[in-house]
Amino acid sequence: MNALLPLTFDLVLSLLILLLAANIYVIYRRQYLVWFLVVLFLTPFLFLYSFFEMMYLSDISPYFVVPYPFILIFVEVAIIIAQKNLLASLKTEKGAEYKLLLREDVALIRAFEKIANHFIRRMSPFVGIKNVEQILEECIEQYPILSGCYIGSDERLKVQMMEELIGEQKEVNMNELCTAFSYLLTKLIDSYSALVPYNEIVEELSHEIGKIDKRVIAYFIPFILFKMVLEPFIRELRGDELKKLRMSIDIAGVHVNRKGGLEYHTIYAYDETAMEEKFITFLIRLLAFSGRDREIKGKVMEFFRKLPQNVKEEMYRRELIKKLPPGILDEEKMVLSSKEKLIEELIDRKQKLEEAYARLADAKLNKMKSEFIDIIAHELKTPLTTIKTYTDLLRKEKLGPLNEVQREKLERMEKNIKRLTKLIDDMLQIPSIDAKELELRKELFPAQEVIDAIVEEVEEIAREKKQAFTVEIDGDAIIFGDKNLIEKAIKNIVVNAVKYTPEKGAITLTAKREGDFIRISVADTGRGIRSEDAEKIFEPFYSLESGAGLGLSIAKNIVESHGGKIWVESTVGKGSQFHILLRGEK
Amino acid sequence: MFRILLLILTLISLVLPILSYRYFMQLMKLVKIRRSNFLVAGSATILTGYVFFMLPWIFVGTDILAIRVFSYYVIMAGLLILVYAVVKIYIDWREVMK
Repeated sequence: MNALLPLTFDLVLSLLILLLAANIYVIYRRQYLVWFLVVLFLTPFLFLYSFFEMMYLSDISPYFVVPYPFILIFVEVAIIIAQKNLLASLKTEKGAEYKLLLREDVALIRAFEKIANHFIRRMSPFVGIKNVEQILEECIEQYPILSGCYIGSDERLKVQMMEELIGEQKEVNMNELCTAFSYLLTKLIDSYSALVPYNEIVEELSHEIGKIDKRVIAYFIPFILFKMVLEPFIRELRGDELKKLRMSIDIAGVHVNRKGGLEYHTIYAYDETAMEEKFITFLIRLLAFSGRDREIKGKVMEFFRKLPQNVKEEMYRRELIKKLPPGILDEEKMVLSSKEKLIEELIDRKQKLEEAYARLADAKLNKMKSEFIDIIAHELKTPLTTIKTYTDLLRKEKLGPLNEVQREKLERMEKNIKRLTKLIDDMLQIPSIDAKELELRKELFPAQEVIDAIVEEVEEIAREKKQAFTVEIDGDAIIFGDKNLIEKAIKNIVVNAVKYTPEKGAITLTAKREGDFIRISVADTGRGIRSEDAEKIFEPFYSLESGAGLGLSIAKNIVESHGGKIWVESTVGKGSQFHILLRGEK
Repeated sequence: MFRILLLILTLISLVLPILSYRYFMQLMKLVKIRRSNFLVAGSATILTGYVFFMLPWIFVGTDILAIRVFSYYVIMAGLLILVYAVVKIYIDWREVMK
């Protein structure tokens, strides 16, 4: 039996494999391929050895067969090393590829590739792949950025090389990419339109664009507007109309070719707003040109409605629909604007409701507070009146004679009853003043009158404390307001001044005319008020020392109910100066 | 002694492809090489041919021409399968790198 024939074949085949592998290595130089080459380089030698071993060596000694398993083990180890290296290398390459996929420019290229391939697949059986390759070559010549693209053996557009080239660049001009690819798509669609009606092309485009990555849909808007909305109508124009249109409509970046195709790709050089403006300008001029307003509007609306959902969403986001001329997609505009108005109104109403609720809560709280004070004050006043009546009877000795100690204690009781009565009177005033329901009996009266009355009341206490009490009043200081209430307000401040000014201190009370207003000031040489307390002292029940903390809040409410102003200027350790500004005689 | 040595070496050369196959499967998860099954089939056929080639030496201690010829044919079949796979890979890769 002749073993030489199959052995020769084996040798030839192993040489062929080596040759092919060497070729692969030449075109795709990768480190891991070297090990595969080593393996394949050994196999022809193995067969050559087999030839010699069979012919000359096996008769001498059977040990000449031992190299076979050794060579095979070496080959297998080499294959394992090659595979390990390839695995490690591919893992890094895969990582790089995943990173590449995250890039917006790569997503854009792949989106264009998908649409282009759809048309290539549809048209290549009719026009032949050579023509498609010719279109691509022409596009590459025009836009070198496409130079990585080629038509593969499966008759599809391949962009891997382009992705790799782009992957090496840090930044890619997206507008340049869009311009190049929309030029390619325009050319493909133009060729395809010779085979099928344009309306069908729009349907197919709509279907393909509906599958585009959301990240890059914005870049397709000019393509969609011109190719899917305007071109269907232009392509239906008669020969003379089309000629006129081409001559009359001149917009930079947009060109109508002889077949009625729109070449618009150069508008990607403009910014987003300018692109939309160009579309709207073209649309308006088209309406003006043809005199077939209703027909064009109808067509435009029809194609707008056919657009896929992702495109519609993008157009709403850009508010492109609002910018369209009247008569086109009016319903959509209305829906859009009424939706916006509704949202605005809802926000406004919500704000008003919140404000009303806050006011209501505030009013309710104030009312509750007033009612509480009212009840407490009345409940306290009734027993106090009874106590006062009995102390009067006791003092007048209607209930029997009093000794000296009893008289002294009774006087102290009366003094405290007086204090308590005053406090309750003050509390009773709060609800009405707080609720701004104070009935003012306004009249003109000289400031001198109320100040004299106050001085008469407090002079004795000031004298006891050896305080210097000075009064300065302008003769023309005539106040317009409720005399009793204003007297009460000023008295509260003066009483506080006397109370908190130490012995041998000085109190100055002045009343001056300042234009239409009268300024009443009470200055003392007390300990002063800290700046953080200056506002708080006018709040009800806020007291720096002993006391109910009502005097100043009542004064503030009285002054403000007269449309006046009250404030304090103070330096800690030096004294305070209270000012009241009231409307004077007109 | 000689036959035992051959047996051990042959067993080693049969175990190593199992390890190699594991790596190959991992590779195929990363690169979807078309005709990868042909690569496996070709290699397995060549290995079968080698086993047939070694059998007389291990069990008889001498060569049997009929089995040697048969093993050459089996190896030839394996090589033919490999040639087909490598040609296909070469065409695919050339296209990618064009």
